[in-house]
Amino acid sequence: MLPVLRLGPFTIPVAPLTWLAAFFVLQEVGDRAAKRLKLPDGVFSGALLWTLGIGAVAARLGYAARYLEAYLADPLQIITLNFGTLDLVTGAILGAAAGIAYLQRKKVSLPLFADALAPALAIALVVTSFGNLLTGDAFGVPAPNLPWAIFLWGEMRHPVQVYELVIYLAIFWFVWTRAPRPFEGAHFLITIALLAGARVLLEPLRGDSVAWLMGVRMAQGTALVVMTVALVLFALAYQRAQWVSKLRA
Amino acid sequence: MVLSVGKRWNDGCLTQMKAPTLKTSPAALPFFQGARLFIIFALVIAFGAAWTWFNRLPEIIATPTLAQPHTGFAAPNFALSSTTAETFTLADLKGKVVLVNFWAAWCPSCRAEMPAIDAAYRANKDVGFVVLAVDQMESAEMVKTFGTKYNLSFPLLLDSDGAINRQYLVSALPTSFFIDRRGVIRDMIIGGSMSREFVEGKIKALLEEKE
Repeated sequence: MLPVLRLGPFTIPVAPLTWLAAFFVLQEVGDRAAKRLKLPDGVFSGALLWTLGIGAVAARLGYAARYLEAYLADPLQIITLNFGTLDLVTGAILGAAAGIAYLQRKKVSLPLFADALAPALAIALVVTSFGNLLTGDAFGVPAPNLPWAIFLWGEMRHPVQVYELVIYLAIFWFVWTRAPRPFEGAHFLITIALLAGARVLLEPLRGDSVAWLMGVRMAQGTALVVMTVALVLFALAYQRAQWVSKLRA
Repeated sequence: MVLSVGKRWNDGCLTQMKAPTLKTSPAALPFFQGARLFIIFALVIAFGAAWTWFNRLPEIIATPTLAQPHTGFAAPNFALSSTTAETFTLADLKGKVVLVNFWAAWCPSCRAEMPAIDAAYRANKDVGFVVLAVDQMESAEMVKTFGTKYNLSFPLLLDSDGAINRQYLVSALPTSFFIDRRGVIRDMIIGGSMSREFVEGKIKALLEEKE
């Protein structure tokens, strides 16, 4: 396992490096997907940067609001480079709002952008799965008799990171080459449903699951809800697209 | 009209991918017409729900243990003496949220984060927060002087032969482990310096959890 890289006097954690690599891949593949969808040049990257920029600022301010007393004692801490002091929910909501506002200003529809984002999201998850394999995070349950088990954290375990990597790669391939697109936003909904479905299937093989209500695994329960919402939205949008098509005919 | 984009990987290289335009086609899914789509989706959701329900975690789950520390596993136990000759055993602190911080007086990042850790400790020690600052192989005299200079209120433990540093695979200083009330490592921070806000953010969530 490789949780840290040692470069002379510096110790660099590997996990943030894989996030950076995932972001780079997300932007590259997203740009290519945007070209396929005839989005104006630079709009995909622009929306991504606005989302991340505003999201990062909002996440830090949200965190500061939660621990106001500590920040009042030392206000300069609000501008330090520390990835641990971020309120991700606040960041995600306000970042998404900023991205949507940017798209509206550029007169690009949100579902079209979401379709460009879809394959990029799947391939970025391939990179993070590889990162998990390097660091030993997101490990599997013990499986002493499994022929393809890997030795990790003192035991032979399911190589869940490899399962996830392969499934995400297959989802990327499907969305990029085979997935139907009956309406704008279809690729995004298909990708989200498949990614969430993969999580529902694989979570029981994870050794780091956290229990939720009545023992339901938190990640699995959340993924089930996300998958359900994506499928329902897909079904409704598909019916609507067919209805509009018939009216036009 | 369904667009065929199946030859995207013709040379197996992402950088060479062509960029044909993708158009929408409401008739792209001939199999999924009418109620069939809803029935198939309902079956998928029902299978997912059943799979989720049958794979619930048991109510009492034994925390896995490891000789080395890792997030999600029980923290390896140790017992060390402090500068005040008091012995602290990690296993005795179950029920409390513990920050095990590996440090040394020569380490600039360790010196920088000590006041922040101390501020977080003073603010939360009455609600079950404990700090064990394990010094890496320095003399008791030096560690005591350091504690006095920085007015530290938490115990400074002496790992004279470095055995606990080795047990915890400390590869860089400072290294910190956040341990929950059940004795499970919930987070590892390699390198520094942690701010008071960061420490409080980490421990507040753990303090709110039940044992």
